[in-house]
Amino acid sequence: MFLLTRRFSILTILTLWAFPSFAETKPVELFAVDYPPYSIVNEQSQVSGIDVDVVTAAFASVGVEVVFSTAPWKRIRKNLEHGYIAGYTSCARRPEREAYILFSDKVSEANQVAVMSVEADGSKLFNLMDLQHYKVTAIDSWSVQKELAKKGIEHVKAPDMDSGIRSVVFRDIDILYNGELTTLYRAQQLNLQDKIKIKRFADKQSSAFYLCLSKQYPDNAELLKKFNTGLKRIKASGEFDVIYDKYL
Amino acid sequence: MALKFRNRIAFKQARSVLLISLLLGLISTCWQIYFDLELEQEGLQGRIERIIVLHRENAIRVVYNLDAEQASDITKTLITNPMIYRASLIDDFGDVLSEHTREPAEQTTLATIGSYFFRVKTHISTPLTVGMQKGDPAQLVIDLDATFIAENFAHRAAVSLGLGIIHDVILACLFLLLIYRYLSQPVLRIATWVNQLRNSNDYAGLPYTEPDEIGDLVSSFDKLWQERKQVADQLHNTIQDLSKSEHFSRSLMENAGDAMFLCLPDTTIVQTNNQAIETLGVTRDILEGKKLADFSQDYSSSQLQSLFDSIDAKQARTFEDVQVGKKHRFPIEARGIKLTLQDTSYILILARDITVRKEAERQIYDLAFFDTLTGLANRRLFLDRLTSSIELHQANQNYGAVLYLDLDRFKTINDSLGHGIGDKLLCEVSQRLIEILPVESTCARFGGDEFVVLLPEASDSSETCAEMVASIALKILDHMAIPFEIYNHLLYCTTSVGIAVFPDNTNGALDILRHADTALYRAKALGRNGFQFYDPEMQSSAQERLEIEKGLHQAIENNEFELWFQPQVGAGEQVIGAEALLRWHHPSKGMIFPGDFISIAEDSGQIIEIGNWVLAQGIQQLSLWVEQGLPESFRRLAINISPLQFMQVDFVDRVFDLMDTARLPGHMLELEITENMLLNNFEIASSKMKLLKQRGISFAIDDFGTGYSSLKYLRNLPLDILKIDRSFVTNLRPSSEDAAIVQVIIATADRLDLVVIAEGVETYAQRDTLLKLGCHVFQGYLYSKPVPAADLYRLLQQKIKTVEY
Repeated sequence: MFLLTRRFSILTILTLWAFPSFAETKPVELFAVDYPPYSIVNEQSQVSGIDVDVVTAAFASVGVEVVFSTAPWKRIRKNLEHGYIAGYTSCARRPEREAYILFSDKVSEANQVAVMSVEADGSKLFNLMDLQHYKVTAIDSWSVQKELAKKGIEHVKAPDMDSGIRSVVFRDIDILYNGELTTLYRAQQLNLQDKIKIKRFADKQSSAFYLCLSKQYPDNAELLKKFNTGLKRIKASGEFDVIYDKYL
Repeated sequence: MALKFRNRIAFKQARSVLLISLLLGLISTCWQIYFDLELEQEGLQGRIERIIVLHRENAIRVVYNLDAEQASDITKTLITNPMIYRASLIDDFGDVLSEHTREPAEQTTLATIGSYFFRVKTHISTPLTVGMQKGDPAQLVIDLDATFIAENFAHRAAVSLGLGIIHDVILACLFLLLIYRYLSQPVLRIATWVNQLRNSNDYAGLPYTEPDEIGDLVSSFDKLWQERKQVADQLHNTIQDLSKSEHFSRSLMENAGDAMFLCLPDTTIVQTNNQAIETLGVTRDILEGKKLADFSQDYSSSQLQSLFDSIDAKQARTFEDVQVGKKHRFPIEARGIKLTLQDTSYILILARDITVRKEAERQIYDLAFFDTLTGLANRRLFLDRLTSSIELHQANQNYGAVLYLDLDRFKTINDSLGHGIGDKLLCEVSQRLIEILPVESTCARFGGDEFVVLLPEASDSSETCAEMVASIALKILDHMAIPFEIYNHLLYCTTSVGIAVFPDNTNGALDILRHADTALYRAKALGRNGFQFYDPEMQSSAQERLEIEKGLHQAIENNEFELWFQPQVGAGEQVIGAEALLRWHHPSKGMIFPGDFISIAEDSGQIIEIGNWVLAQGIQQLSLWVEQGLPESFRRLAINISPLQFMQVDFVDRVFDLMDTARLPGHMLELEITENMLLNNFEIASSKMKLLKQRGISFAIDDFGTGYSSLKYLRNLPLDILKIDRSFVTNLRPSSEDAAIVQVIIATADRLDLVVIAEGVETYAQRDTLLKLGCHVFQGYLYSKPVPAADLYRLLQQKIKTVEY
């Protein structure tokens, strides 16, 4: 499936590249990884999601057609670094990325929250370090888990998000430290949205996500402008909110 | 037969096998290593490819995901393979996704050698095509541990090579054992067997009987050997027989006492034996090849050739020759035999040295015909020549003569001075005879002092012949009158010669000889130192002598002897003893005195018997007188003993027996012996005399002064009485030469304490002279002639009256 998808993508790219007479109409290929609900890659490698829809709508508003492909994140990042691909959505803004990425205006944001069972008592939970008093889990190798580890907060590693959600709902784990929207989206799919509750930390800032365009990729500065323009348009038109509603 | 191990087939085969198998093994191992190398290289490539393939998809995925962690797993996994010491995964952006390195294997000699052959691409980069590839393809890079691979390969090759060598060595050893067991050892046994067959007569059994090629070979060889051996044995036996025969012949020839010359018909010597070499005194090399005539004295080459031609194969030819050796020549008797050997004719000469035989023949001839002492002809030769001469003279009417010689008084010389001087005298006499006799005459010695001379063909008339012979006889007498000087003795030896002229009427040689002998007796009878021709009348006196000799034989038997006694008178005219004297009453001739027959009896040996009779008769008479009574003055009876009688072995015993029988004391018997008796048998005579003396028997030396008159006898022998010979008394006068001699004799006797009796005292003058000279006992006609026993006894009864003749 993956190969087929990749082959299809390559074929598409080649086809677009091989026929310059259709350049004007050639859609811009952007990449995304499966990061529900921001970007969702199904088994057929079809990409959707909040940020995907936002980006697509934004570009569409300025007359730029985009297509989304998926690839491993590190590959996408390196391609961006080398200017092999046009862009990716969505990524956080970090200093080391400034060198090779053009960040758009904020497309979405993410909050790292404590996910608890609806029955759980989260009254004493205010700051991130308060997690020390709870049985905490985090999805193994995810940035949240690394953060806990970095800060010395004892936790249990969950192999995946489903396990993390189920462990707080059905097990003795008090808190799943995870992204708010991601967790909610997944709980919905697990039909456990009613079994959980979210509590944000007072000392924890939300993380912004941007459309990242490769600096080296041709005409990307222009493209960035167009996008920012289109983004403003859909936010202004309300289309932006429609998209959020569609997923949550 | 001990073979060096390295020379054995097994070793050679094993060595070859080892070398060949080593070479083949080396080649095959090299080949194998080469293929192994190829295969290894291919295999290595395949293995590497498989490893790459194994990791390829994963690597592609990892690269696609740029998953450094998994990439690390891949490279880490890769270097766990000992062949790979470095692995890296480079993404399609040219960045090293992961790289792992470990220390390559340590470089060893084996690895160095291996790496020399094992050339392999150690740096392998495999492109990985991933999705979304924008630049160069990603690379899976691996670096192979060439040292490890090469060492591994080299180790395997070394093991393979080592195993190959071990395999070859084991194979060679097995081959060595097998070949030794099944080929070398049987061959060695067969070789030993063959050597045994050659060196020993004992046939050993087959050394190998297996039914295979060697067994077949041995069997065939054995069969062949047996056949050959049989033939060889036969040949050997034949050769041995021939050798023995040849050796036997050669041995016979070499050891033959005769010299053997194998000659060609042309008299060339081709072969000789040791005896021939020894007798001729030349080496074999010189001898063989020469002509036989070169060594012959009597035969020239042509003569010997003719002799050889006359020899045939059927009959041997005998001839005599004198062979001339290197050092001496010697007579031979040779036998020639014709032989044919291997189609060649030979003459075998067997020569025998007959020197000894010839010498013996000569000695026999000399003994048969010559007198050994003088070298003159003997009786046989003389008679032979005389007979021949008589026959010749009867034919040509010539006259010859025989002279019979006899040396006067030779017997006395012989007895007194010994046979040595006597023999020497005879030789001198013969030498003188030869010197003065004509050449054609024959001088012979018949024994003793009898010489006979034959004068053949003296003349054609008897008178002339007699004259000539007389002159020769005179010549002989003259020469013989010259004294002979022998061993410092000056001997006077006159000769009597009897002569017989022939032919006469008798005609016989012995007759003529007897005539001469008769004439000789006549000459001797006529006073010696003269010659007499034979006169037929002489024959009668010779006959008379013969008759006396015959008569003596019967005299004892017929009691014809008688003892007469002559008294011995002391100073007081008393008879102090008597000498027994023999008288022969011949039946036809009347009384015969001892002078006429004693010499004949001594010559014939009858004296022993006669002497014994005298001894017995005398003792018996004395015994009778003792019984009848004898005057006190009568001391003893003297009996003459001849030398021949005295030397009889039983003489002493005989005397003792007679004395014992007569029961007479020894001092009453006096034995008269002559000087001559003592000369040649001093020791025996001395011992006998001493034995007799122990019985008191006294001894008188008779006829003292006429013989050797040795003082030695007087001093060393047990003598009592010394009788002065009548020849000194007959012409005895005071101050005469004889008186001086008698005086010396008496003085000597006195010194030796001997009684002296003078014989032949016939006159008062003689008696007085003797008395003056110191002799006090007398015997002679002055007192009494010899008288019969009865007369003497009567005489003893009365006083003796002296009667002067």
